[in-house]
Amino acid sequence: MVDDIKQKAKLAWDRKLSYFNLKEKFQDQLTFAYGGGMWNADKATIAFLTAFQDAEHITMEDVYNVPRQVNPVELLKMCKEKYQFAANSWAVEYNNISRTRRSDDV
Amino acid sequence: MSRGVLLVALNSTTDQGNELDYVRLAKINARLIRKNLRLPVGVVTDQLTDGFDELVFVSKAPTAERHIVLDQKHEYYHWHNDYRRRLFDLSPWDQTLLIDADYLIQTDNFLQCFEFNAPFQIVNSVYDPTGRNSFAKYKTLPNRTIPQKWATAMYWNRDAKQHFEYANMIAENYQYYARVFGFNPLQYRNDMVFSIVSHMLPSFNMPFKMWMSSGDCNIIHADDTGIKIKYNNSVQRIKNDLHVLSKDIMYEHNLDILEQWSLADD
Repeated sequence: MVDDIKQKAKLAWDRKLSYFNLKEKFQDQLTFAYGGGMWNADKATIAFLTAFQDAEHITMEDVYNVPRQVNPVELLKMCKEKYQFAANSWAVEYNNISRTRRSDDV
Repeated sequence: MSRGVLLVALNSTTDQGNELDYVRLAKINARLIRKNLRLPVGVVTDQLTDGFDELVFVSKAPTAERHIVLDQKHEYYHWHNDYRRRLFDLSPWDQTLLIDADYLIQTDNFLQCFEFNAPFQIVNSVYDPTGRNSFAKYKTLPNRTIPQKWATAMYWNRDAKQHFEYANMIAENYQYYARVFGFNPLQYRNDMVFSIVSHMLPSFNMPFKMWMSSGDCNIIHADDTGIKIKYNNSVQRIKNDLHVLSKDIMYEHNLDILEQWSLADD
């Protein structure tokens, strides 16, 4: 019994690691397939595509370094959706972790 | 095009008489897959079982013994792992995702592989959610020549025939390739075979990392907020696809925890 209590008291939870894991998960959630390529809905891609909204087609390098012809309007729309979905779920889980106080509640 | 997920589940018994019930674990994972990927699930096995959309029967071939630690006891069992390279012809689908029974699915990340639909895709990088970077040494094959891939999750379509023919050729000449790339010739490992395949033939890395918990991490709880693991007197909750390396996952009480979790909201 005493050993059990000691064991529980010792049980540590690394909050920073949980935050770090969440960020990793967020980054993994940003990739998606479109037009035969694989894309990352990161800030750089969104900014780049925003600059080409007047073009019908552009050639752009996907995550596998393959240049592909894409419609920048369509791709930007998908990037924004993907980014917002992933970022929102990151924020929700971040809030849950920030409210956690004990390793028992993890 | 038809699509689905295959799991390999061949039960084994350790030299101490402990049953490793991979079929039960695969059933649990099949429920998680249906929930998160909404795809049919098949099992590659040698016994009649329910809980799957497709059954692919194989017979167990003799294998080398593998060492494991179960509840801090050293045990040996026959590791029936030499089936992946034959699954190109056995898969009932045009687009197939194969994952280990102990790679517990909690997200829809793998749907990207089906949408991308390159003929052969495999896991390239691993992430350790305990922050200890336990798998950094597996970046390349033992003689540091080519990148190590992880056959824990592989995707292929009907254009990947050559990849599997090549895998068969490597497996049939395993001793030779073990010498060339410096890995153990006694224990057949799919990771080695498919690392060579993806180095030699056009292949794509899966665009996300495989989260993997090392052998000292034990599952202590699971619910819709994720899987809670304990290691070194620390805990973490993982709400992501997680490949569990600890064979303690096969203990009945751990399978009970996972089963209850997989049945929730059904």
